[in-house]
Amino acid sequence: MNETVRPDATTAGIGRRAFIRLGAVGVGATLLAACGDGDGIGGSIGGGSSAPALPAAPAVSNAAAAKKYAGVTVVTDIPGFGTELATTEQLAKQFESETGIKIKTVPLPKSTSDAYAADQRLLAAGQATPDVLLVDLIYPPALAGYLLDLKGRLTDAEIKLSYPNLVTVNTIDSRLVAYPWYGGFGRLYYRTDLLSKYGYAAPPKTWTELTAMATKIQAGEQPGNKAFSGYVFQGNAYEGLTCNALEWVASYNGGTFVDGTTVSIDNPNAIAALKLAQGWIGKIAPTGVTTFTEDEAHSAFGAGNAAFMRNWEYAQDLDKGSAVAGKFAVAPLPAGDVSGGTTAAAAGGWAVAVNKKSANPDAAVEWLRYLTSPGAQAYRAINSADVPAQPGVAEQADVQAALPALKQEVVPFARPTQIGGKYNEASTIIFQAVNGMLRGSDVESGVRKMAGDLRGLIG
Amino acid sequence: MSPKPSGSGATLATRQARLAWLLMTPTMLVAAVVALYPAVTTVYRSFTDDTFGGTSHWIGLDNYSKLLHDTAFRSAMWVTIEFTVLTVATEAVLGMILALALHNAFAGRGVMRALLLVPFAIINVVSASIWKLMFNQSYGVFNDLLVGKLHLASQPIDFFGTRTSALLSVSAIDVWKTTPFVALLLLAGLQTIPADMHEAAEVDGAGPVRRFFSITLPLLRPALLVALVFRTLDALRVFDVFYVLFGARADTTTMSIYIEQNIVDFGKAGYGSAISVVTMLVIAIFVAIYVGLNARADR
Repeated sequence: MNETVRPDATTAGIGRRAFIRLGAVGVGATLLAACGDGDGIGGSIGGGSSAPALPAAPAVSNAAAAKKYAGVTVVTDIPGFGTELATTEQLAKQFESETGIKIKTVPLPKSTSDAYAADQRLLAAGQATPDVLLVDLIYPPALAGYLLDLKGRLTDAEIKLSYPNLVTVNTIDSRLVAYPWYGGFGRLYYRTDLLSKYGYAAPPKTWTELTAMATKIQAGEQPGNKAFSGYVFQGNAYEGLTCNALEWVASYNGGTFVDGTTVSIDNPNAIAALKLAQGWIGKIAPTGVTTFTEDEAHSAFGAGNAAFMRNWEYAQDLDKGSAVAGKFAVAPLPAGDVSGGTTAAAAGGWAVAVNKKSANPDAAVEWLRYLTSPGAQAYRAINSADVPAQPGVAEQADVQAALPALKQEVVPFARPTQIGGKYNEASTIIFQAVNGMLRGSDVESGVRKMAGDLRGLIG
Repeated sequence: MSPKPSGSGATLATRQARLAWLLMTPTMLVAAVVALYPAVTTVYRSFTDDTFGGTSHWIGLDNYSKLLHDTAFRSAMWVTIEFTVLTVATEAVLGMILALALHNAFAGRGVMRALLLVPFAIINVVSASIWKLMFNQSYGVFNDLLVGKLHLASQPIDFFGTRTSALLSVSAIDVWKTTPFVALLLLAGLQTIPADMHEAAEVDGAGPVRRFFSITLPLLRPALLVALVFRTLDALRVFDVFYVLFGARADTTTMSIYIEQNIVDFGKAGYGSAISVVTMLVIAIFVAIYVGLNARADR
């Protein structure tokens, strides 16, 4: 999977076209829900629970075919919160009114690993519901056996709409078990006003530059604002830290923890990357960053208490009504300062799957077809900053106006999900070890232990 | 007891025993379904490599021998025990002080007793989330007070930074939340102590300290024991506060969180069951200590 995710563009600078090609891969980004193990406090500065009223959802293009199943109820588990949840609900309402198929939504736990555990147990118990599952990109390998093969259900033309690499990620044993829905990548948010105040013309290209800039800005700003810090990211012990650590390590050309079936984390580049991150704590990042999820980082940056933030695309909602509205921009994450160093963005995202045991697979597939249609993807992109999983949608002018970051370079890396059902445990080993390092434990011995634990796990 | 009269039916005693069994049957059935069955399956499962939705094989003591070398479990056990000793001891002392204060007659005592229950009435996860906000390093109220208003600290404090500070913070939340429970149990105990004993002691010239240690404390022992056992069991099973505050962080994982992680996140139902069984044994040891101490004091 990593090969598909690391195409020819290891150089730190690819244009829009390349992004779109690469974006293929990545639809995965656990946008907010995906990487969120936090409990959701303080996350509503620009977008949280009070979602603004949404415009009407696009018309259902497959309404004629779907009407055959009018009266049937399709149970869908539904992740996310805020606008992300609201757009899905809006689409469900539109589908219900045009087709007569009832969509019953079941909320999922916000944390992606809890959501997975819930799905996994329902499916393993042979339940017929939920009929439609919205799964994080990291889970199709583990859930494949319980999911309907969508080949033959969807037309080849429909399948070709998605980025090919995304289709590959969701194809297990030549069965298409989930259809790409939307994605996201790790991104660097920076305060344009502060950068120009301290004499910087452009966002940092390397982590060393970021460290230097954050140090200077923090030294200047902190006397007036005790809560100010240079850089905030996701340092809590949860899936989001695995994403952050993947970006550091991969940007230092240090691999992706497990490459193929080989544990690769114990290498000098990875150690250098993790030492760099450890060095931020208490210097340019508050020591409390070790408890930050997306929400806390979003709150701190949104309140004007940070110069830089790592987050997913959706954090662009801070442009509406936060203290930093109009004062920030988005850039690719910095590259590692080693030979072979690159900018690296963790790829996350969601796909839609149908339960093999569903009593109404035909109606379920029609709902999937609408939910992932180009019109619905554009609607999501514009209204909840969800990165489209189809190049045709990402190239639309109105989508690019809403998500300017789509025009920027990105080098996506996938988390080592190829290890399948053991991914959760591997990720726990990774984020617990890295969280310990951020709180001061020795990096070298920590990496050795992490590598040993991972080898013990995947054998 | 009474000799069985020849020729007649059952005696009163056997009839009563039969009725007792009859009346107890529904309770015992319910207990068997909701308590015994899960306990037995958990013990059984702990000898298997059961996974959710996967296969299950008998593997004997493998899970237990693995547990012996599981440093993560050992750490979880110590975190839980340290938290338990710290919070239960503090709650017992503070609860006693509160109970003694509320035992005195004063205006507004009824209102005070009701107010006392407010922390206890808030749902754990909700209060933990609020405390997490208050402890926050960047925008929490404690740091705002310490740094911004009172100038007691020059830098915002990271209350969850180290293992020790994290344990102290989470213990403070537990003490805030459950001291009232201990106080109410002790208050009920205090009210069963006849006032004339105190009066007699006072006439005999015993001061308040002497009266507390010679009359109040010994007579309060049953209530104190109940409170301590309840609190200890609760503390040893602690999950929600730690989960909300620290998530899956390694050095603050309690036994219950470790069980949840193994069974729910990793799908390792067999190994998780083995941890549950060991957790049950740890709890049993604590209960045995209390019962033993109480029996010794009775002698």
